[in-house]
Amino acid sequence: MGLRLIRRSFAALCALTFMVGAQAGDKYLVKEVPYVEPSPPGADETLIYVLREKTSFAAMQKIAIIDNDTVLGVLTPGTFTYFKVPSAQHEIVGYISPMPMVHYRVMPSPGKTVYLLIKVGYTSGLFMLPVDEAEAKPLIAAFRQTEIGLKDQKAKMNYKEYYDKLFQ
Amino acid sequence: MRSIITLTALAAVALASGCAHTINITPPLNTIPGDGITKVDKTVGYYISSEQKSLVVSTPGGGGDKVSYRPYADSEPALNQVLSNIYSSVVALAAPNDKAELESKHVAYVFTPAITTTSHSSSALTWPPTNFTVTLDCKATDGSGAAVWNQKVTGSGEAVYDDFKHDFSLAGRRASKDAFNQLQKALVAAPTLK
Repeated sequence: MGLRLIRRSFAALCALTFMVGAQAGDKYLVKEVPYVEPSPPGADETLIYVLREKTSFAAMQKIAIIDNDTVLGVLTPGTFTYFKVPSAQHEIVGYISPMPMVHYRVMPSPGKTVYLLIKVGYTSGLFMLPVDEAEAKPLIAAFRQTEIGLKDQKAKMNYKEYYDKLFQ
Repeated sequence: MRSIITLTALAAVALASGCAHTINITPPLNTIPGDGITKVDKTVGYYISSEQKSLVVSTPGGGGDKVSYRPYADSEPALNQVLSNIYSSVVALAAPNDKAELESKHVAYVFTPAITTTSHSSSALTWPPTNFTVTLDCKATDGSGAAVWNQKVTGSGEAVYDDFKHDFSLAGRRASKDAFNQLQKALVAAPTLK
């Protein structure tokens, strides 16, 4: 009983921290924009969509989308962003201030489109996973696209190297 | 205002306590490298039934909570990666012993995994597991359906708070990575599967 009480208090503290953190301003100047379908990726490129599911958990918390070491987007619930990268390994990270919390390693996929969905929930999970086009298209149609005003800002570190170390 | 927020947070946490948190145990595919493997010029297949793919299991996490995940669905990319590292072509099969499909796709071997998992946590304060195991019992049959190979491996993964705060599924992913690398090593060493 004692442990359970301690645990609940600890979790409540975490939840409050989440709320306080949500008051932080948006340093990347995120805005919603009308969806413009991108041109297909070139033969040596990969087109990556990142979608954030629409849930109320941590809804006030923005998620910065980082490709290895570069901030390429910011997502709120029910939004998505996309970008093209040279075909190679890319660590796509969802950064919830003050730390990265979800990630997915995109393997070399020349000429292909990859769809990544960020699950955000207390019980439904907090992770990023690939979904197929059939699952992604209806979400893209229902969600709103975002883009950031401050483009190509460097993240605190290279998260490709960071997650490589985490799995060594 | 502060007390309202505190009470709301406490109520939300109290309601959610004791429930299952979804995790994903797919390892990053770059952690299953095929460096140094000479590929066998054959097409192989694997079979995971639709029931297995939709199977959700729950095992213990920390603080009395559980974690839930899809062991077969989450493991399919890793199985595909292992077989693709060893064989020139890999196909997912709709049935384990459909001779017409095996012949039309020139499938030399069919791999069928059985997956079991365990987890627990040494922490009373946080729900992500600190210890996880993934056991793969993988059998291979040839085009006629005859068993030609069988191997059981168990991968284990550990994760402490400083690590899993960046990936709540970390212990499971590490265990899965370990299991599939062991499976790959066993497959490469099996003379019957060349």
